[in-house]
Amino acid sequence: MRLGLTTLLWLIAALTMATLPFLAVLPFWEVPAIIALMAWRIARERRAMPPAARWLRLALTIVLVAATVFGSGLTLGVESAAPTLIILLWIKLLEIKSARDVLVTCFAALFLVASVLLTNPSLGQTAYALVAVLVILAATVHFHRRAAPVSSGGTARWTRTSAGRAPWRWSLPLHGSLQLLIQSLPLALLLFVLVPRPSLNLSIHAGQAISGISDQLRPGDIARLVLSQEPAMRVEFPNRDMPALSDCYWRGVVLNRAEGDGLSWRRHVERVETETWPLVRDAAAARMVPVTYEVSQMASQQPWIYALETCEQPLAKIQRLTGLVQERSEGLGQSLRYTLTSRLDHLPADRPLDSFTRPKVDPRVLALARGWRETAKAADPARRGDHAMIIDLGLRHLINEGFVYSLEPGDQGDEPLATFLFERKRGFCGHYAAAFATLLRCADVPARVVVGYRGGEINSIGDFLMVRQSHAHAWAEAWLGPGRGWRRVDPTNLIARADGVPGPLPTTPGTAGATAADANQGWWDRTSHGWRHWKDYIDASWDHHILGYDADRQAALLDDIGLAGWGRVGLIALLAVGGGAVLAALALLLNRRRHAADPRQRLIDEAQRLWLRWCAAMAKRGVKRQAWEGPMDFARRLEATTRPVAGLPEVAAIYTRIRYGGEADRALVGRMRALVRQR
Amino acid sequence: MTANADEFDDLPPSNAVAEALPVAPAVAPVTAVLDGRGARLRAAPTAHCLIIGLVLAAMFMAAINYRSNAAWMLVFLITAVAAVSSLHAVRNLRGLGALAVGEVTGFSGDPLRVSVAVRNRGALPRYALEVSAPGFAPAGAQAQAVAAGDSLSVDLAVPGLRRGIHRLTRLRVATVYPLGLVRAWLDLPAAITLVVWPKPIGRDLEQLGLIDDRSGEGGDARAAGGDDFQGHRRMQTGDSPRHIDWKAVARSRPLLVKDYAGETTGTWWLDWSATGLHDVEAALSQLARWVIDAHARDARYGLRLPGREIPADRGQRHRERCLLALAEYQGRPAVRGSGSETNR
Repeated sequence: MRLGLTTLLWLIAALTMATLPFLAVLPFWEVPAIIALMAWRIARERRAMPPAARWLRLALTIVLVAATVFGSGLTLGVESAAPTLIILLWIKLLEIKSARDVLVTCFAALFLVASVLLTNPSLGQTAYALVAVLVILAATVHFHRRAAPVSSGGTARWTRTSAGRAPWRWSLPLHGSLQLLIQSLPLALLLFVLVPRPSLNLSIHAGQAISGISDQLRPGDIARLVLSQEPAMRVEFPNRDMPALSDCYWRGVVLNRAEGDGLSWRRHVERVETETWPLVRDAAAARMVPVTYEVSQMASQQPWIYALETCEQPLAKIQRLTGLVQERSEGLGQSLRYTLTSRLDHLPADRPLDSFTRPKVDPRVLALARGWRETAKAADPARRGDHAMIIDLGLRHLINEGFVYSLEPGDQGDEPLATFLFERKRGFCGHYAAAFATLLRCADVPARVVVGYRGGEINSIGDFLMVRQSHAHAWAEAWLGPGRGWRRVDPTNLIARADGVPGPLPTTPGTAGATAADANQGWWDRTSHGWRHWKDYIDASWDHHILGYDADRQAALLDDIGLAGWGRVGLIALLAVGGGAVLAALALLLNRRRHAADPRQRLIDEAQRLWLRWCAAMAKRGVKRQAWEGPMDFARRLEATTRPVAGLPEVAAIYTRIRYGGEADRALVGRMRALVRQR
Repeated sequence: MTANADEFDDLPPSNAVAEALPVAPAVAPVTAVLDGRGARLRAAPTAHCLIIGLVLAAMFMAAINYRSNAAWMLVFLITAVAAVSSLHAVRNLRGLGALAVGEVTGFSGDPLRVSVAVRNRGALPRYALEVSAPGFAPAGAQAQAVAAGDSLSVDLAVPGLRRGIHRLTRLRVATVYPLGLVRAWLDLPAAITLVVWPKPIGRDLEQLGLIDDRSGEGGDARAAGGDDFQGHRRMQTGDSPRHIDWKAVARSRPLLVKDYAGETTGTWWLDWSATGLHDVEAALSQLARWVIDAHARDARYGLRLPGREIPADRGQRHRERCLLALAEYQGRPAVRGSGSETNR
């Protein structure tokens, strides 16, 4: 089958749209290979050559597919199958033989486009997918329009060009597919809202979600995160009682094992069975009302559930771990939405487990910590060294010794902790939290490191808090004793202040240097900041209304329209009724009487309508026009009857002149209208 | 004067069979437009629907698996597009009318070419129309488009039919536009008569040997030469173009035919009993062969069938009347009755 160059180009456009989102995952050689295949195919079409030889196509298929599979590995996931599918599609282009081949190519392109949305359902990607669907449908429409109409001239009319040649515009199929898409929107929306969400869970995949915070803290980990503007989660406070940003510590992971010489920490998990978290009132804090908030976590490969410190009650059906943290065991790689309540004036009060074990540290480090303990003991022998006092001494040491906040602390050698504490004295939150927790343990104070986020970015448009990866933060927690709980110690906070940086705390404790720059930002920064807020807001609405639409909200919708308790039956009934109505309305719209674009033809059409009306009126009076009777014959016969009808010869004559005589002018039609209306 | 006549004799040689066998696409003039209004439009999913159904099902399952509402939305959108495309397919046919009236003749076994036209009375161009005649002709290979207000001429190739009178009463216009997922079709009324003559096979006319010979001469008087030219008469439908006095035409005179005396002298009687064949179809084929031979010789000939006799005459019209009689022969007096002979 000869495709024709235009059809081929449309198909190529469709395949290109389907290929583009996968550019990053394609093997390096695949793009040049695709371009070569494309050029070859176009050249063959231009020279009207038959399809390439069978053996050549077969050899190409085997070589290219084998290379792709070896390159990316053969796994079940949609993402890893994409490069193979893509190269197969482009090879398919070489041997399109039938309408089925064309359609199958287009359908496979649709599948590729949809598969991108599986792992990246953002608004931008969805918009791209819509455009891609538009182009793919246009290719299909064009394929069915490829036989350009043969016009005999005369009354034939295309758009507005002179009769005779059918005008050919490349964009015509786009009109067709745009029309199709727009007309399909109501039905698609109905399906989206009403098709019952199944509760199947077949998770077999691992998406490409952001990595975020890991279960280890090594110097440098957080520094990398801090530079990323990726959103981590979005928080809404339904009661509009958002705490001060500097008090917003988002607890994610608790690390309770020091590693190496004490600057690295990792997690040691123990499950706990509890309905509520053990909390204790923080004597130092003012009394506060519990805060309820709704978190939308972006898709992440990590199971952490982030909660404002200190969370009252863990989520249902979620694994609870020591250290008042929770994690999910399924649905990794997907976004998550949950509501929690926290009491900011309370502290965690879980029993310290192995928080006394002390890492093998440099003797100097040990000596430093022991020194604080002795000092505390000396000051208050009754309590054999109050923990709070030891913490205080430690913090004071950091301030006095001139520690500096820096995202580039440099290489710390074999003994990073000692180098950091006694030589460089430069680091960021990860360093300070890990070092301080280690020091506390050396001073026999149970301590651990908490990793999460701090603060966030207030979006005034959408009235929510946006927490980005750049808000990643680590801090230490020290056990004050039974009944007093764990006290949060955030040395970085002090360092940043000690450094004399006045910057508004909120945003990133991590980027204290950057906050200085924020103070004198230019119009561009402010504008881009504004844009970013808008973008966050739009993304948030998209997430909330579209991506967050689930079975619960379907049930709520049924509730709202008075079909509570109908469940799936209600949804399907609504779908049947609504879908039928939408299609019927569309059918009426599509089949409405259309007025011709050509004014001449409009006049002829009107004359015809008038003539039919006249004939109908005559039929009522008992004189029916026979199917084989032309206007003049009818007029003659009527005149011959016993009851001649006034005006008939003239109506017939005018109609004949307009319809067949090429005399379509306004005055004649007007005269005819007057005559017909007299009846 | 005979030489004058021969000057314009640029038609194919008068080999009887050679002249008769090529398919003669005799298309009767279209006399009326049959209205498509009221004809029922129907639609059904095509096999391609199954393919996109599978693709959509795969996408649906993947969307469930990934809990991706965005992918889900795309699945629904494509489903909706498929549903809406059926409305477009139906609209693509609405308001089409057929110009398919007349009569087509041909020999049994030879393909017939039926010319029909589909008229687009709507205000929109129509695409990918496949015109076919259910039971007779399949649709052509390539679907065609027709502009608004224009007509689409289609030659339907009706493959070899059996001898007889066939009536083509429905013209089917189908389309898979715009996406190939739904096929809509519309049966338009048609009134085309397919007259299928018996296949002309059998013995030569010479072997017939039955000549009502008034002048004692053979059938081919003109070949015998001589000044048998009798004068001019007005041309009638069915007269051989070879006998037209083209020079007279060149002088802007009406179409005149040269009359030859010798032609009228012999009359062949093509008699059923003379075939000596018992098989009806074989006998009819033999008679058809003789009719064609006799016509090619421009001879006067008559046809005798059981229960029916067509008086001797000559010319194209006579030839077709004889062939029609053969086509509609049913072993007893013909269905059309003798009255139709004079009507035609």
